[in-house]
Amino acid sequence: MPGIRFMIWLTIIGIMITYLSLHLRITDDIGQFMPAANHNSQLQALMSEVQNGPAATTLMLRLSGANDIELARISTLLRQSLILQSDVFKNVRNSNTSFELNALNSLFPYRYLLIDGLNWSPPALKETLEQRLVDLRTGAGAITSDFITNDPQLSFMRYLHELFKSEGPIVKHGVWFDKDIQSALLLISVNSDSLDLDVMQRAEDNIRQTFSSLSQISSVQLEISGPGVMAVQVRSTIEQVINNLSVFMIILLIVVFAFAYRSMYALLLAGIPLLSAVTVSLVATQAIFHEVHGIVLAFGITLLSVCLDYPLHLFSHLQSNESPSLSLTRIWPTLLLSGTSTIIAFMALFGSGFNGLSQLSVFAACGLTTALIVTRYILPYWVSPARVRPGLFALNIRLSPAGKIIITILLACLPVVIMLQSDIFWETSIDAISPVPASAREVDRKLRHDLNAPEVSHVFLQSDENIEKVLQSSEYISQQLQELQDLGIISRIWSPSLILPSVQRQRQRQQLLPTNQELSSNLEAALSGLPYRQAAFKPWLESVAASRTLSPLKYDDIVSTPLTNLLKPGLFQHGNMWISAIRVSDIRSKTEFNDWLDLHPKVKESHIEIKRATEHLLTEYRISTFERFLGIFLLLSIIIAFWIGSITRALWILLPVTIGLLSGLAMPILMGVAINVFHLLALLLVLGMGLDYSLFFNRAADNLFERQQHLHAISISALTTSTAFSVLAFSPVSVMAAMGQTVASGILMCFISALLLSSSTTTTAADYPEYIK
Amino acid sequence: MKYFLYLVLFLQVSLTTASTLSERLAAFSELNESSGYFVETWSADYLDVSLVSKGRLLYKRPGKLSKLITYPDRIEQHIDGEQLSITHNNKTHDIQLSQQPDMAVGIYALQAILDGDEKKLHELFKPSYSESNTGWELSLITRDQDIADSIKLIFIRGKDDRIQQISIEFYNGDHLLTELTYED
Repeated sequence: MPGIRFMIWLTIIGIMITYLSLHLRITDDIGQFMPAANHNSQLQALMSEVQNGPAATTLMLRLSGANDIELARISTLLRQSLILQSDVFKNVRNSNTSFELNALNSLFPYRYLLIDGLNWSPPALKETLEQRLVDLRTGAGAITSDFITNDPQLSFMRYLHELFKSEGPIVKHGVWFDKDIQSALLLISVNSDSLDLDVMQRAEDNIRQTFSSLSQISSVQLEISGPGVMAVQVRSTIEQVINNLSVFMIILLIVVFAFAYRSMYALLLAGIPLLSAVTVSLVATQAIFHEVHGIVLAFGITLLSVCLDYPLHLFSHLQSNESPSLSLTRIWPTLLLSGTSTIIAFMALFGSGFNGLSQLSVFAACGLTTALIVTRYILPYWVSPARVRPGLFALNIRLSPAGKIIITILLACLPVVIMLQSDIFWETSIDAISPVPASAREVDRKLRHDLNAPEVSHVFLQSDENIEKVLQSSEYISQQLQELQDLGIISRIWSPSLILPSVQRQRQRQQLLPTNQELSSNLEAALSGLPYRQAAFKPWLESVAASRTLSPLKYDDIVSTPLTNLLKPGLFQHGNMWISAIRVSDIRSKTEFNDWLDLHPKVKESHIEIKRATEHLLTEYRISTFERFLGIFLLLSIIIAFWIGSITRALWILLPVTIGLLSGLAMPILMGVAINVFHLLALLLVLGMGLDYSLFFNRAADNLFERQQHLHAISISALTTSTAFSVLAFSPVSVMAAMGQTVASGILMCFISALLLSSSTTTTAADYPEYIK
Repeated sequence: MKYFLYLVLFLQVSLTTASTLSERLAAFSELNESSGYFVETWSADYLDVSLVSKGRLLYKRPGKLSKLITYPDRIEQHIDGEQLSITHNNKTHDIQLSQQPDMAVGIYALQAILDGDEKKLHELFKPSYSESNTGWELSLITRDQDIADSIKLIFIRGKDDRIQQISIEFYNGDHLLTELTYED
C-alpha cells in the first residue's frame, strides 16, 4: 500500500516537474505588484506604456573620468560600434543630430503638411532667400545650403527643430555633455518591442563589452541606467535573495532537525510535503498566470516554511505505541482548522488588483493545501515512529486569570504605544515600495536630468477608438495650453500632434499652399536682384505642387522612421483604444497652473498628475486591502467561534493572534519604515500562522506528554518561520523586507502570547471543548 | 563652420621656419593677437554669380575671434570661448557653440591652430601637413563622422609665414574659397 501511494505520488510529481521544465517562466516585472488602475483605463494604459513601451527599453549612458575631448572620442567610437549591432540596438544617440537623417527622407515630401506659418508672398520669399545668403556668409551655410533649392524656407528643419528643440543636453565636440562638461551622455534604444529583461541584459552586456574594448587604456568610466537596467538589477537581486534564502533554509532545517528530532530521516520526510507543495504551487501559478513572478517565488518559498509545520506537528505528536496515522488523526481537526484558516486568508488575495499578489494567493493556497493533503494522506504511511525521536521539553507556565489579563494588556499595548508615538504610519510615497535601491534611482534621476529626458509628471490624456479624433483632441488641448506657455507658467508643451498632425489639420495646410502658377510668379518676383539662378528652384516648385495632392501622413508612416521612439510614448494603442499623452514641463507655479486649469474645465478633464494619481491609487488600494484584511479576520473569527461553540474561548484563541498582528505592524514602524500595502498583506500570513499556534496551544491535552508535543511542534515552527522571515526582513528588495519585518515579529509575538495566554487553560482536559478531542 | 575655417587665412603671423606641423603650431602658439583682410567666394550651382564677401578678421589669445563683414552689408561675428554672437541689421543673437556642432567644429579647429594646440587639432581632425619650395599646405578632415559626411576637404595653403588661401569643398558641390591679404 505505501509502495503504491509512493508510486502515485512520484508519478504525479514527475509529470509536474516535466511540465515545469518545459513551461515555467519566471518574470520580474515589478509592475505586477503595483495596483492596476482598473477604474481609469487611460491612466492604466499610460502606466502600461511607461512600463513596457519605448521608454522602458531606453538606456541612458554616462561617460566620465576624463577630459571633454577624450570623453567625446569614446562617445563617438561607442556610438559607431553599437550602431553596427542593429540586432540589439535600434538607435544610438549621442547628439541631437545623431539621427540617420536619411532615415527621415520619407517624411521630407510631407514637410508642408507638418508645419504652420509659412508665408508665400513675394516679399516674404525675398526675405527668406536673402536670409539664406546671410547664412552662407555667416557659417550657417554648412547647415542650410543643402536645402536652398528644395526647401528654402527650411520648413523640414523647422519641423524637426520643433520636435527636438528642448530635447537633449548641450553639445560639445559634436556629442552630448552634461551642464558642467564633466560627462558625455548617450541615449540608446534597445531593439525590443517590450521590456524583455533577457534582451535588456544582453544589451547591457554588449555595451559594457564594447566600452571596455574601446577604453582599455583610458580612465573613462561608464554608468548605465534606465528602467530596463534597473529591472535587470532587481532581477539579479531577487535571484540572489532566493539563492541565499534557499541555502539558509536548508542549513536551518538541518540544524533544527538534528537537535529537535535527532533524525535526518525526518528531514527527508518533511521534504515530501514541501517538495509537493512547491511543485503544485508552481504548476498551478504557471498554468493560471502563464508565468511566475520572482518575488512570488522568493516569498512563496519562505511561505512554504509554513507547510513544514504540518509534518512537524506529525513528528512531534508521534508515539511509539500508536501508528502514525492514529497520531495524526488525534491532531487532525486542529491542523485542518489551522490550515484552512491560513488558506482562506491567502485566497482573499486573489483578485486583489495586484497581479503579483493574485499569483501569491494561488501559490500559497495551492501549496498549503497540497502540504496539508500530503501530510494527512501520504506521510503517515511512510514515517516510522522509531526513527523519529522528538526531544520534548516542558515549560510549566501558569498564570492566573488576572495575570493573563495583565499580560494581554501589556503585550497588546506595547505595539499600540509604538504606533501611536511614531510620526509615521502609512506610507504615501510610491518610491518606498519600489524594489529599486534608492542609490540606483538617484543615478537614474541624475542621468535623466542631465539628458533633459522628458518628464512624465503632468500629462493630458485623450482617448478614442479613432486615432483621428484623438489627434484632433490633442491639437485642441495643445492650442489651449499654448496660453499657459505664453503666460510663462510652463516652459514647453509636447504633443504627439507635433509629430503627426491630424488628417484634418494636414488637409487644411494643403489648402493653404499656393498654386504652381502663384508660386512661380511669387518666386520670380522674390528672386529679382538676388544672385540665385531661377531654374535651380525647379525641384522646390515641383515638391510644393506635389504636396497639394499628397495623401496625408499616417501613423504607420512615422512609425517606420526613427521618429517612432518620439511618437510612441505619446501616441499608442491600448486594446482597441488610441491614447494620446500631451506633456507639459517646467511648471513655474503649481498654484497658477491649477488656477488656470480651474478656468478651463475641458482641459482639466484630461489632466493627470502621474505621481499624485499613482499615490492616490496606492492609498485607495491600501485602504481596500486593510478593509479586506479586517473582513478576513472577522470571517475567521466567526468560523472559529462557530467551530468551538464558545465566544469566550474563541476570544482567548484570537487574543494572541491580535497581539501578533499589532506587533507585525509595530515592528516596521520601530525600524523607521512606514506601513505599506505589502506589510498589510504579510499580516495575512501572521494571521494564518498565529491561528495555528493559538489553536494548538489551546487544544485540549489529555496529558502532560501531549502538551509537550504541542509545545515542541509549535516552538520549532515558530523558530524556523520567524528566523526565515527575519532573514527576509533585511533583504535589499523593499517588498520582501516589508513582508519579512511584519511576519518575523508577528509570528514571534503570536508564539509568545499564545504560549502565555493558553497556559492556565491547558491544565485540565475537562475545561476544553469537544472539538479538539 | 565653413566660414570660420578661413579665419586662419588672414592672420598675419611671424612664423619661424617650420618643417613640421608641430613646429608650425609652436610658432602659432607664440602669437598673442593678429588681424587681416579677407575676400571670400561661395560658389554653388544654385547661384548665378558667386557670392562674394569682404571684411576684416581679428584674433586675440586665447580663442577670441571676430569676423567683421563689410561688403555687401555689415555683419559682425564675435566668438568668446563657447559663445558666438552674430549682429545683423542691428539685431544680435547669441549661439552656444556646443549646441551647433556643425558650426562649432570649424571654430574649435581655428582656435586650436591659433592657440597652437596641436593635441586638440589632432583630436578633432586628421591633419596632413607638407612643405615645398613654393610654400606649405595643411589638409584637415574632421573626425566627426556626421560632419565629415558633408565636408569633403579643408585645404589651407600658405607661404613662409603667411596663410594665403583656404579652400573648402562640400560633397553637395558647394565650394568656398577665402583669400587673405595683409596690412603690410
